[in-house]
Order: sequence, then structure tokens, then C-alpha cells
Amino acid sequence: MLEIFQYDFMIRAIVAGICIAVILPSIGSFLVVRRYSMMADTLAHVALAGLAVGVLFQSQPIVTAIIATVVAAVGMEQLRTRRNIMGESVLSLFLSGSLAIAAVVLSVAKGSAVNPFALLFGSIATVSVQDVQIILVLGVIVVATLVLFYKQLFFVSFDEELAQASGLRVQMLHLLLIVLAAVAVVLAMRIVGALLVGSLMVIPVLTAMQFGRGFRHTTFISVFVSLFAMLAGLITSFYVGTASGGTIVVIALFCFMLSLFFSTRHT
Amino acid sequence: MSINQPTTPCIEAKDVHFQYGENVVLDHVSFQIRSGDYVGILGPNGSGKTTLLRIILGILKPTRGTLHIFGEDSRTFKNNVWIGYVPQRAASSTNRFPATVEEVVTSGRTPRVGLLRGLRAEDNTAIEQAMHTTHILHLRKRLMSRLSGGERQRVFIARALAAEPKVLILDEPTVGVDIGAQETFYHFLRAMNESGMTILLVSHDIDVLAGEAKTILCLNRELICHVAAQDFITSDHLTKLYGEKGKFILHKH
Repeated sequence: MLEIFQYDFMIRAIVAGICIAVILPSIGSFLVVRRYSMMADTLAHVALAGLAVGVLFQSQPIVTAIIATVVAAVGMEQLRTRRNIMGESVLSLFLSGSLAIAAVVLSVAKGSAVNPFALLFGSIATVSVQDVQIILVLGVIVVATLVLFYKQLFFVSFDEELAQASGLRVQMLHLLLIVLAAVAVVLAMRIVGALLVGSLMVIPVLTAMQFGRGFRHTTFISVFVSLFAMLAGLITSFYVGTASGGTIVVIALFCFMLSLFFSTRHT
Repeated sequence: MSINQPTTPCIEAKDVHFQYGENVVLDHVSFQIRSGDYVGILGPNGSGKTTLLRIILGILKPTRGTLHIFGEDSRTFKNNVWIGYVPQRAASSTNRFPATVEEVVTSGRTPRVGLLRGLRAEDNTAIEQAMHTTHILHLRKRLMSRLSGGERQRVFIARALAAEPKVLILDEPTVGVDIGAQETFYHFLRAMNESGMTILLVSHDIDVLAGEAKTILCLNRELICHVAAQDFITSDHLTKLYGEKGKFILHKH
């Protein structure tokens, strides 16, 4: 038996990692084509603030992070549509604001056992059994919701104006996508880290877009790229001792560069 | 309500008024469009053409007045699928979206399919028929980014047709499409109209509208005229529309 499977924490990380590797690019496909790539990064920073609050009050950090990101996702959408503030300004506001909140709260909670480096860059050792259970349950809910609303999300992503004219509830679908992204970001934070979770939503999709022969095909390829980067990253992280999030994203970046090379040759 | 009843008004505007804040975009606009008509909508930039289309599509609601679609107030009209729409600049806006022709055409069927069911045989038939009518069946697996402007435009019409609409609205559909493809495109629209489809075509091209449409609806915040196409080119409506400084040379090809 491989040494890696003798450790419970690695089995937990791999199970959670596979789930995360499937849901991040599945949502990321819709975010990238809608030019909302920065949304994942912003939500990750909000989740960091939520985690910090959870640590401060010694409650379940994953729950406070999910609450914070969902509330922020709704708040960002309200600011964008009701107050007519430009989308990228809203993202910038929440990104820097929540990072500031996280820094303040974590400095207040100095005495706790939390490791800020693990929060920022991910750590395979911090995934608990309860985390895996939450990730699996919420992961299944996220994937099921995506499958159920796939047709509507595709239509809205491709042509929002026509979707609205056709009677689709565009605002509701937009909010649904952001809330799903918020949940996915929180689920992925333990392994990938707050600063890097956004990249795992975007890089596999950009890689897949070099070869994709359609939206559905692109999404499937991005999931495979993400799974490869996740498993290779976790194994490398285990044997080399590097931060899991950074290792996973570096491998995803390597895949992207290879895709550029091969797609250029193909063209 | 049958599309083939020539005297049935499918769209009826009564004193429609629309404003954004203090800015009046449409003022006391009234007209009737009958089923089977081919209406060219003409007006300078900012004349309210797109706003009028958005009211017909139910995206905007008139500030005052009423607009009836197949006899029902546009505020409460629920059969959005009866109105097919090809938006402005649609042909040039999809370069980076990795979607195939078939995926895009299928998306047009989404409002009829609903949430909790997949595509049924009748949905697939409608999608196939839309691609057949627009002569894009051979392109179905092709990425949108690999199509010419004319091909893309046919895909967007197929997407609208996939929902089996009774009225087809096209907003500046030939922007970015070369002259040869435009000729084919307008020939196709004529054929669609001859088969009973009501068409509303917004364009800045007076020559095309006068040659293709059956009636011309001129808009410049208020309704300038709604006349038969052959009466339009012999009248002084263009001067009313574009001002005294405009010079117009009317000739027959």
C-alpha cells in the first residue's frame, strides 16, 4: 500500500480534494464566460473574514465562513444592481474590505490555535472528519443545483438580454450562481487556501478553453484538469512538504502553459 | 390565435410613453402591427427604437399608455416565447464564449423546456427544424468563434426560431455582416415572412427597409409615420426624421 494512504488526514484531504476539484471548475466555467473571474477571489477573501470570526468566537469556522460569503454575495449583487455601482468596484470593495476585517479579527484572536499561513495558502493537515462530511454534503447539493439549472445558467451566461426577454428570472439565476460560488469557495479554502482558491476556479477553465469543442465539453475538460492538479498537488505536497494550495495551483498553471503550447501548435 | 389571420393586430401600442428619469424616450406612440406584416423600424440614434423593442419584449414597462401583444397587456403578457428576438450586435459579441452552434440554438428552446425536465422529442424536432430552416445543420458542431458574421447571424435567428415564435424581432441584424451575406440574409427573411412569420426589423439602412419591408414605422421619440413602404420613399418623412439639412436622392435600382 502506498505510504500516502496510511495516513487518515491524507485520505480525508484526497476525498475532500476530489469533491472540490469537481465543483470549482464547474462553477468557474460560468464565471469565466460571464467575465466574473475576480468574483471567486473576492468571495475567498470574504470567506477568510468569516473563518476569522468563527475562530474568534470559537464556533464552527466553516459555518461562519459560508454565512459571511453568502451574505456578501447577496450584498455585492444588491450594490451592483440597486445602487448602480460598477461591478469591478464592488468586487474591489469587498475584496480589500474583508481582507482588512480578517487581519483585524485574526490579530484579536491571537491566542487561538489557528495558523494564518494555513488559512491563506491551504493545508492538508487541517481537514477534519467533520469538514469532509460538510464538503461532501454541500458538494453534492452544489453539483445537483448546477445540473438542475444548467440550461438556464447557460442561456443567461451566453445572452443575458435575450434570457430576460424570454421570461427567465435573470437576477435570481445570477444570484444563484454567486451563492453557489460562495459555498464552493468556502469548501475549498481548507485545502487550497483563501488566496489561491479563486485560481482553481479559473485556471482549469482557461486551460480547457484551449481545446474545448463546446461549453459542456470545456466544462468536462476543466474538471479533469482540476482533478489532475488536485491529486498531483496533494501527493506532491505530502512528499515534498510544500503548502498544498500553492502546489495544486502551480501544477494547474503548468497545465495551462502546456495547453497554450499545444493549442498554438494545433492552430 | 393563428398567425395566418391577416387582419389580427399582434402588437398594438396605444399612446405609449416612456422616460428614464426626466429624459423622455418615447412620447405618445400609437400604432398597430398585424400578423404576417413585415415592418421596418427606422429612426436616428436615440430615437427610442431599442426602447420600443424592449417594451414589446417585456424587459421595460411603458411609463404611460398600453402596449398589447396578441390582445394582452405587455405588463402581464406571459407567453414570451411567442416573440423571437435577435439582439443588436449579437453577431460580434460571442468570440470568446466556447459554445457550439447546437448549444446556442438549443438555448433558445430553454424558455419552453422549463426547469425540471430535459429536452423531449418535440423540443429536439423544433431545434432541428430551426437549424434546417436557417441552413446551419452542417455547422451544428462548429464553435461560434469559428463562424463568419453571416453564419453567426443565422445561428441567432435559429436560436429565436427554436422557441417557435409568432413574431421575429431583429435589432440591427446585419451590423458586421458583409454585403454578400446581407443579400442572402434578407432573402431568407423575405422567405420567412412569406411563410407567415411577422417580422419587425430595426435598421439604419433606409434603402434596405424601403426595399424589403411591407410597412415602415418611423420613430423619433414620437411616431413620425407608419406607412406602406412604397408610400414612404415618395413622401417627406425622411426630412421629418433627419431634419432639413439631410439631402436624399431617391432612385430606383
